[in-house]
Amino acid sequence: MLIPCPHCGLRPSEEFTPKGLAEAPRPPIGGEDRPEDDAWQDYLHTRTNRAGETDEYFHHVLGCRSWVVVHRNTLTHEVSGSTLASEFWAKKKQTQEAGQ
Amino acid sequence: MADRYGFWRLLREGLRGHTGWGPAWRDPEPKAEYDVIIIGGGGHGLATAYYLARVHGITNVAVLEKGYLGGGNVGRNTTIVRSNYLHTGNELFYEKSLQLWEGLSADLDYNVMFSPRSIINCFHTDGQRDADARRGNQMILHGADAVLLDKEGVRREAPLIDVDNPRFPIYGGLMQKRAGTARHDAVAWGFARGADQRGVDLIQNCEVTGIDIEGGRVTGVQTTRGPIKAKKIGMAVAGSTSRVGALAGLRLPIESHVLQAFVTEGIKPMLHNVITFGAGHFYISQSDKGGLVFGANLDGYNTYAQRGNLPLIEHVMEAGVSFVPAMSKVRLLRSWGGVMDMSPDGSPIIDKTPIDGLYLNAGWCYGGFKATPGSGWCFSHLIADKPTHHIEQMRLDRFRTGYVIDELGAGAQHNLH
Repeated sequence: MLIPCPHCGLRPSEEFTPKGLAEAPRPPIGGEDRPEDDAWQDYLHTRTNRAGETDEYFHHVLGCRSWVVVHRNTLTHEVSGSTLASEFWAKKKQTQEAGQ
Repeated sequence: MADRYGFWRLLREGLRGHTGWGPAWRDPEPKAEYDVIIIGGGGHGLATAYYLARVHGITNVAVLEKGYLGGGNVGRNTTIVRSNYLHTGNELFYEKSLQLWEGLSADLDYNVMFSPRSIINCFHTDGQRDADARRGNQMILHGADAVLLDKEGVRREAPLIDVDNPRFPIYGGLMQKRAGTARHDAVAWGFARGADQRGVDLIQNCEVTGIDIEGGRVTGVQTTRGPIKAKKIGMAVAGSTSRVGALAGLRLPIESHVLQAFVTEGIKPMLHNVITFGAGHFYISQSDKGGLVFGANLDGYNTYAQRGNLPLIEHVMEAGVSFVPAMSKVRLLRSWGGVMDMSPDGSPIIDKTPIDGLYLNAGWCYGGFKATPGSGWCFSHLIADKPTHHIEQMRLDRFRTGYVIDELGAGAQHNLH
C-alpha cells in the first residue's frame, strides 16, 4: 500500500504508523467538556466506522514525522489522498460551510 | 434424541454404506414472529441460541445469517483456546468459557476436537517474568491453572524453540496446561446442530436490513427474506458490529481491523503446545493435519476487506524464524485475514444497549474463538434476564465511566490491542 504524504509524496505504508479513524476533532484542553461528555467520547472511543470512504490518522514516523489524515476506502484499500492533520479539521469545516 | 452420533450409529451406517446420514440441521422458512432473534450465525450467535434452548428452555428462537453458518471469523482464526488473563473482568469470563470447552464435545454430542495441549507464553526479560508470575497468580486466584517454567522447562517442552537466541534469550514461560486448540468449524456446526435439535430455526442467506424500533423498544427486524417480529434481539456480528449497530442508530466504540493468519504445508509433529514469542508478538501451534498455524499483530489500519498487506506478512515471518529457526525450512501454504471488532481497551462487550430489548455481543478483538461457548452462555443468560457475574465488567458504557478492562495497559486506542 502506498500513502501520499503532503510533504514527501508517495511513500510505502511501512513508513507510517496508523492511529485510528479521524471522525471527531479533539476537544480543546481546559474547555468546558468533561471526559464523560460526548465530545471527548466521540474523539477517543466511539466511531461510525464506515465500510467505505474513511479518514484515518497516520504518523509518517519514518519520514517527515508529520501527522497526516489519509483518505482511504476500507473495503478496497484504495487511497484517494491525504491532508496534514493540522489542517484537516479547518479544511473540513470550510467544505461543510461551503456545502451549506 | 434419535439422531445421536456415536459408535453404534457409525457401525450401522458403515454396514449400510453411509446412506442413512441426514442433514445435520433443517433449512426452515422464517416465521412471522419469534420470542428471540439472534443476528449472526457464527460461533457466538449459534452458541447463544443453543444455550437459550438448552439452559433456559427458550426455543422459539431464530438465528439470522447473511451468508452461511460459520462462514465468518469462526472459520478464519488460529483455533487457540485459553484462559490466561490478568484482569478479573476478563479472567472470570474466559475461565468459565474454558470450563465449558472441557465438556463441550459430550454436551453437544459433536466432536469439537478440543485438544488441551497447553499454552506457553515465553518471557525474555526480568520485567516480563515478574508480569507473568503476577498473571499466573491471578489466574490461580480465579480458579484457573498456571505454571511458571524456567528456561530449561521451555526447552524440555518445545525443543525446537531457540531458547538461546543471542538477541532475545528466553528466560522461561508462563504455562497453562488446560489451554489448547479446537476444530473451529466443528464448534459452529456442533452448536448449530444442538440448537436445531431443540427447535431453534437457523435461517441462512437472510441479511438484516433494518431494525424496527418503536418508543425506544425493538419490535422486529427487516430482512432480505421479509420482516420478522421479536421483542428481544441479540446482535452477535463481530466484524460487522458498527454496520448492524447503525441500523439501530447506535454509534459504538468499535473500529474494524484486519488480523492475518498463516498455515504451512503439513509436516511431522514438531510442536505439541501453543507457544508465544514475548519479544515481538507471535504465536504458533501445529494443527492435527500437521500444518504450522501462526499469526501476530494487526496490520494496524482500518479495513473491512478480509485481507492484509505484505509488510505485516514479512514481519510475522521474521518473528517466526527468530523464535523457531526450523520454520525457515517449511513452505507457507496459505494466509488469510479476518475482520476484527477492535474495542478501545481490547476487551469484549456483552451488555444491553440503550434500546430496550436490543442486546449487544461485540468487540471480540482477536480473542473471539476461545470465547465461543462462554460468550453464548453469558449472552443467553443476559437475554433470558438472568445475567451472570462473568460479564459484570464487560459493559458498553465502561469507556464513558472509566471502568475499562485494559488487559495490555495500552490505553484507549483500538489498534494497539
